[in-house]
Amino acid sequence: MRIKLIAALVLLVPATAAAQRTGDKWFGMTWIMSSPTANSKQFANDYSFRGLGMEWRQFKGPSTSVGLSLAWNVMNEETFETSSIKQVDVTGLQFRYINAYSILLAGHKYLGSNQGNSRAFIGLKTGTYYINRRVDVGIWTATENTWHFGLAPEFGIAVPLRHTVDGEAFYTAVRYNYAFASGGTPYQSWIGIDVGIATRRF
Amino acid sequence: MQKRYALLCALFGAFSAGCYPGEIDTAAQTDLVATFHMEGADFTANHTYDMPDSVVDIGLASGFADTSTINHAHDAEVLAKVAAELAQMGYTRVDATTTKPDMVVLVSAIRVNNYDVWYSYPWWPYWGWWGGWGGYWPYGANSTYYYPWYPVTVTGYTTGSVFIQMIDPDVVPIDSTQATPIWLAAINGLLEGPNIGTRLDNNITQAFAQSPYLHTQ
Repeated sequence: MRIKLIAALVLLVPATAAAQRTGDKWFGMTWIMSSPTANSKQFANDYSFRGLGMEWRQFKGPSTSVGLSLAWNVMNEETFETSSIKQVDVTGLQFRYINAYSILLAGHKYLGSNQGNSRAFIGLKTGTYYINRRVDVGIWTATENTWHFGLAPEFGIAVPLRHTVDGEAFYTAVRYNYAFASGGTPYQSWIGIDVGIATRRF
Repeated sequence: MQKRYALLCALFGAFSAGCYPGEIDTAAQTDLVATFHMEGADFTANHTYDMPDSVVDIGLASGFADTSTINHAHDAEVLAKVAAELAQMGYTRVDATTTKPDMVVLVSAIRVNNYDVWYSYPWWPYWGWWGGWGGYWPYGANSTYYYPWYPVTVTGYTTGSVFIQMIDPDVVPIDSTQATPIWLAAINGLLEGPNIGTRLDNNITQAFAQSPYLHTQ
C-alpha cells in the first residue's frame, strides 16, 4: 500500500517537457522497479518495487545528450532453507538484501523529431556502483559493502504531456545494470524499469 | 517550485526508510537449527542409547552464573521429544545402570542476556571533566563542546540455546578429558513470546530432519 501511494505521488509530481533542444537541460525523477539476474538473483530473487532515480541531462544537439544519473535499488528475498558446508547443516529463516547505489555518467541518442512528439531514446551509462549485501539469519547479520565499476545500457521513451516542445513529459526506460566483480564479490546485475517524470529547466 | 522539491525530498525520505524491507518481526523468525556430525561416523553401528532425565544448565554448570539461567518448565517436553525422534529413527532407549548403551545422548541449554548500546549521547556534561582528552583528542577540560545528540539507548534481548549431543564411547576422543560427540544439534533463538514450547518442538523436529544419516539400518 505504501509503495502504491509513493508511486502515485511520484507520477503526480508536476514537471515540464522532454528536453529536445541544444542547451536544454533535463531533470528526471523516476520510480525504479528491478528484477535481479545471475549472481544477484541467486542472492535475492524477488522482483523489487523499491527504487528511486534522479538524472540530469544536458543536450548537445537536437538528438544527443550527456548527463549524470543517481539511482538506488533495493532487492530482497526471504527464504527458509538449509545451508550445508562439509559436516555442518544450518537451517533458518534468511533475510537477504541488496542495496545498490549508482553514480553514473550517461550519454543518450534520441530518435524522431523535436516537435513535441514522443521520442524514443537509447543510452549508455557508466560509473560506480556501491553495493551493500546483507544477510540476516537468526540473531546474526553478515554485511558486505563493495564498490564496483559498471555499465548500464538502456532504452526508453519520453512522452510529452502537453504535446509541445516545452510540455511536461512522462518517460519510461528499461536498463540493464552490470557491476563488474570487485573485491571478491562476483559481478552483480539486474534489470531496472524506470517510470517517471522529466522536467526541463532553462 | 519549492513545494515541488520539498515533496520530492519527502518521497526520498520515505523510501530511505525502506532499505531493509520485511525484517524479522517475530521471535520465532530468529530460530536457527545447526547440526554437526563427525566425518566418517557410522551411525548404523549404534542401536541403543541412554539419556539423562534432566536438561543441564550450561551457564550454571560451567560457573558463568550463580543461579540457574534457564526455565526448566520445558525440560520434560524437550527430553520426550528427543526420545521420540530417536525412537522414530530406530534407536532403542536402555537403562545404562543395567545395560551398556551403544551411545549416550545429552541435552543441555543456556540462556544469555545480551545488551546493545546504540548511538551517541550528550556525553560532554558527563565526561568533559576527564583529563584524558588532553593531548590526544580535540576536546579538553575547558572545552565548550556539547553534542546535543540523541540520548543513549540500551536494548536488551535474551537468547536461548538447546544442545543435543550424541556421544559414542567407542570413538576415541582427541582430548582424553572430554567426550567427543559424533552428532550435535544446536538450536538457538530469541527467548521471547508465549510459544517457546512449540518452537522447541518444531526445531527439534528440524534438527533430526536435516540429519538423515541418523538411522540404525
